Formats: sequence, C-alpha cells, structure tokens
Amino acid sequence: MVVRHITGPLLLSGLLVSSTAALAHHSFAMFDQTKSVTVEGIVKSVDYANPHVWVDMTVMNAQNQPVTWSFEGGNLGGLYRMGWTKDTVKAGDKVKMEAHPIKDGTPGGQIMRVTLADGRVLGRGPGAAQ
Amino acid sequence: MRFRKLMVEGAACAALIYGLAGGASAQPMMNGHPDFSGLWQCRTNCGNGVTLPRAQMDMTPEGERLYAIKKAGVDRGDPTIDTGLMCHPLGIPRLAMFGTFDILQKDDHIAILGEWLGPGREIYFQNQHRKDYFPTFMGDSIGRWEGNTLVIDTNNIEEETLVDSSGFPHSDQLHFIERWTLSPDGKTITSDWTLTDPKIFRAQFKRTVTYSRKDATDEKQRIVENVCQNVEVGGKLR
Repeated sequence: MVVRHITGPLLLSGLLVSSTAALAHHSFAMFDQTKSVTVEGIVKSVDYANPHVWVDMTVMNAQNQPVTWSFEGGNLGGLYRMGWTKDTVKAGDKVKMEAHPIKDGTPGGQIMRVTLADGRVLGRGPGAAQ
Repeated sequence: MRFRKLMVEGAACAALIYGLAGGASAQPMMNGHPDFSGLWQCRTNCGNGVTLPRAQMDMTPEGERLYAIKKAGVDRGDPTIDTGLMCHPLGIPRLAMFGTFDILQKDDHIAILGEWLGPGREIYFQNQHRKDYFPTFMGDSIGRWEGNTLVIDTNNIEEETLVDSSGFPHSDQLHFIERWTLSPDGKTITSDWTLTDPKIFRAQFKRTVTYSRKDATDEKQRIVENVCQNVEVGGKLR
C-alpha cells in the first residue's frame, strides 16, 4: 500500500495531491508513454464501461495519507478476451498497478499491467492505442 | 488395358471438376461469389497506432492548412477536433481498421456489425449511390463484383471524421474504395484500399488491410458491446 517506484518528476507532484475525482476523458494524450509508475493499494471502485475501463485505487503516500489514483485501461471487449471478467478487479481488492503516469502529475495513469492478490498479471486490453 | 486407361482418365476428370466446383477448397461461396460471412478480426494495418505516412502524403494547400489544425487538436486531446473523444463514431475508413466484425452476407447486400464505437454498415449490391443522401459517419457504401473480388465504393462521409488517428482531414469529396478478396482457405480477407480526395490530397493513396477469421463458437471472440459511456463533457461525466 505504498508507492514503490516512480520514474521522472511525478514523484513529488503526484504525492502532494491528496485526492482526485475519477478522470473521464479518454484521450491517451494526457499520459506520458515514456515513463512508468508502480503503486500498490486497495481498489476503491471500478467502472467497467466503454470506451475504457477506469480503476480508482486508494494508495498511501509517504505521509501515510490516503491518495486516490485513477487508472484508465482498454475497452471491455479487449479486457474480456485478455481474461478480465466483471469480478477480476473489484472494490476492496489489493492490487499492484503499473501505468504510464499522467503528464501533469495528477495521481493516475494509463494501465500497463495489473497484478492481482493471487499473483495473476493482466494487461490493460486494447483501447484507443489498440 | 484400355479400360484401365479410361478409369484413370475418368478419375482425373472427376478430380478436376470437383476442384473447379470448389469442393477441394475451404473457400465458402454464395450465389457463385465468395461468401465473406463470419466473425473477423482486423489483423494487418489495424488500430490507432497505424497512421498515414506524413512524408508521402502530398496535400493541397487547403489540405496542409486543415492538417495543421487537426493534428494540433489530436495532439492536445481536443474533443472538438478528435470527436471520437466525445463519443462520436470514428467513421469510415478508420472504423474499417478496428477490432472485431461480424459480417453477414445476403443476396442483395452485406451487413457489417463492428464492435468499435460505430453504427453498423450496410453495403448493397447496386450501381448507384443513394440520391441526395446525407453525409454520415459510415458514408454511403455500394458493392459490385469483379469476378471473385468484391469492390466496395463509399462516399458521402461526414467531414468531421479523420482519415487516421494522427489527424489527416478529408473533405466532402473523399472517395473510398475497398477491394475484398477471400483466401482459398477462407480464413483471410485481404482488403486493398484506394482513397482519393482532390480537395485535400494531390494523389490517391493506397493501403492494404487484412482480416482474420475468428472462431465464433468461442464466446470470448464474439462481439462485445462497446457503447461509449465514460466521457467528460464540459468538465462533468456524461
């Protein structure tokens, strides 16, 4: 439940933001495809919707304060074919999320892969970057 | 001896007839033409990562002007330019290069149910486009047979759509031709594209897209609904 690894300038700016509403826009232009961030936390909510799934997580920052991170994945068809089901990731689950961070430092990113509590690793599924 | 020769010749002749009739091939046929019906996955030159080669695109001054505007809008994720970002269909030709398709071929037309953020597409076998039809995201498509090649001719495509995900624009003059052929084993559709738009591009450009047959008995391979829902409009979730 701590930030494990962050590359680039996201480190400070991301941790200083206390919370954020779920990001809805599905342009992938806002993500920095050259960087990655990995966080562990508890899933707050999952929006299994098209065009892209959104996973909100509660992640504890360095001050042990809860921060909501929002992650965007692919479309439901792609997720389904990669092994996701409606119960794969759900509120309350402990997961590790690896993502391309949001450029402006808002806590969140574009899902690269998710590691579930049972060790299964899932991709984000295709989306606009399919 | 003579009887044996006749038997051999007869068997060879039967084999030839069988082959000509398509019995030796897995290529499905309908009314003397290839039957493209089935579940398909875009396989070659598919997805948003595939864009037109900028260096090879010879544009008119108007094309260059519009491209600069559209590309900048795409790069900053502006939904008023890249209108797919506010759930408008990507339109043709982009939707012909995404995801899974269920193709239903009938005597007089082909219907295509796509998975990806778009309405269905119907291609009637006729020589004339619909008269005084409205511009639409999927355009107006008609089909004709040239031997075993299905030629799909599409015009009247809504101008707000982009030709590719990098921001190439088009005008009301965009003319999109697909030439579909089915592989002998029935497992691949090859679609040779030719696009012309004299207002935007000085020359036509070509692209080949392929589709692979999917196993429709596998539930995971079938169409999964893709209604655009979680989009932000005016700063609020719609």
